[in-house]
Amino acid sequence: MTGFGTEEARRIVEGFRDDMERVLEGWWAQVQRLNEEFKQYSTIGSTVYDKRKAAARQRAYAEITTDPERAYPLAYLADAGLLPSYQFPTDTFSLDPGVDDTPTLFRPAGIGLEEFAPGNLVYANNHKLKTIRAIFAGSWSERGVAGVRSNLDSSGLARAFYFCGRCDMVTEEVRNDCPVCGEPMGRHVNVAFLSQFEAEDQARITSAEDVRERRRFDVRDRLVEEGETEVALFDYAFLPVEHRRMARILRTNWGRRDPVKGEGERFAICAECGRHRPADPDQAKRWEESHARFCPGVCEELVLGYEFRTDALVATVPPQPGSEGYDEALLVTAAEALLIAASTYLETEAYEISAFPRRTGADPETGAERPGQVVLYESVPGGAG
Amino acid sequence: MKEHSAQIDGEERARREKDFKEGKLDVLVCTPTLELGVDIGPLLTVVLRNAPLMPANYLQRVGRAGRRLRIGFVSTFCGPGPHDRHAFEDPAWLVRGEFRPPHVRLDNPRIVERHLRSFLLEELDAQLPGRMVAFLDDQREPTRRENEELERLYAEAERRRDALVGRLAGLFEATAERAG
Repeated sequence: MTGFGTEEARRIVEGFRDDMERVLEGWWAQVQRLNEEFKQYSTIGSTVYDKRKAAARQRAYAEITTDPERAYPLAYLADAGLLPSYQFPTDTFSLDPGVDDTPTLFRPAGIGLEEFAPGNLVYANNHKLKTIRAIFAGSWSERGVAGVRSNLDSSGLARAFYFCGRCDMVTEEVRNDCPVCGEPMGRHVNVAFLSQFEAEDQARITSAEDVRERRRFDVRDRLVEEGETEVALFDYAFLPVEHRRMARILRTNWGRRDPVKGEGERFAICAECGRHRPADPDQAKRWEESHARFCPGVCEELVLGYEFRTDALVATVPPQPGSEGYDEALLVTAAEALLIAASTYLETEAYEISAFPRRTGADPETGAERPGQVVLYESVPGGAG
Repeated sequence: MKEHSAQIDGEERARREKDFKEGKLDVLVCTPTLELGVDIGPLLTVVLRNAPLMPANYLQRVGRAGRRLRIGFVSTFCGPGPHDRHAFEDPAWLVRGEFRPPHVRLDNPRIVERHLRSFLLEELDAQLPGRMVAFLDDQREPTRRENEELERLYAEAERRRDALVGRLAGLFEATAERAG
């Protein structure tokens, strides 16, 4: 095993307590939240709506404390990424359906980022569910107290990233100009790495509903630029390829795509309780009034993100004869073709390798638009080989 | 006829396996949950609804049939996709079987570290409880985390720290030696 030895063994043994405690503290925060919300919704004289919410909390509580499969400690630690599981280590997003007859739903993170996004509709077990909230640990007692950091802030789940407006460069480092195309960099964007969401029942699915309602989100895949990436260049005549070892892949969801601007409208999420404010002005007003009754928090405009490291191949695709610069249609086609070829040649499942096109902007010296690239990467975090 | 898949919980799945073996069920429709390590003694017929991914998968799946009488009947249906078409045009590819050893990258820390923690837990005498609820002081009105069993685990890991580091490091050395 390359690179592993006594030092790593010592780190695992000495870090054993901290690793376990980190997972169990997260579990304990979830237990407390569910118990508290159950009590809140099940007071004497509560409405039918609240009783349904209380029953959903009870189901979720049983799931993580007494369920023979999910609450089995070894299975729980495997799901949390501490112990091995049957498959390669995939990161997952979860959705508490908010109903009492359906267990928590899980999806691979890259899919859950869109499917479980606040405001989206999820069809499960005859329910039409709508994601209403992101869940992050935080103290209920200190909510909204002046001088105390918001729950989102203290969770450490939101971080500032800088996205170039001209090319697909993204970095966490503060920069005046884009290191790829030289374009002046704009303001930072708050990316929240949230992985647990809660939904509520919108309606039972009936035969009257022929087509599933869909939301279209502005999802962007990027390679995060950082100074220390190990790169090997394969200077093939037609298709030069860079192999980036343990590259950082960042997938972001910018919210529902505005049909006019074509850009995501971002997610307005309360930094204290994680509830999502709808984008529609009338609904948002009603939401604000109702939210203010139980939570003093204010909403932040966020982009949702998921990142991981893996091996990536970056191929610079030459433009079609007679054209120049960035050609998105060509790159999307090339990316799909390369994916099919790689999956066929390596005999992998379709989801094990992914790809996305990448703009590299204008050449800072000549000002001419450069051809785009295709990034092919292994979907397993850390790479499966 | 019943389903046998990861969607069915473990106890129910075991019950269905038993019923199938005893002849109470005529047909068991299954996903790869039944591919490995299950002996259904008197099974005579296997029907595959698509061509398995690799010869090794094919052998495992068809190997469920004919274990007792050494006679089995297998039908493989091939779909329109490139993989199934390849199997249809060259069935010998599946049957004669070139077995490739499983390939996994052992310098991915997320894979290696998980297995090391698993090995570490195996080495410890102290055990984790059977359910997460054991970590609560009171199931109905939890006020704090119950850490008694965990503290025993942590204390043992601390007490035997050097020996455990040696055992874990030994795994790397043994692997390096095998790799030459």
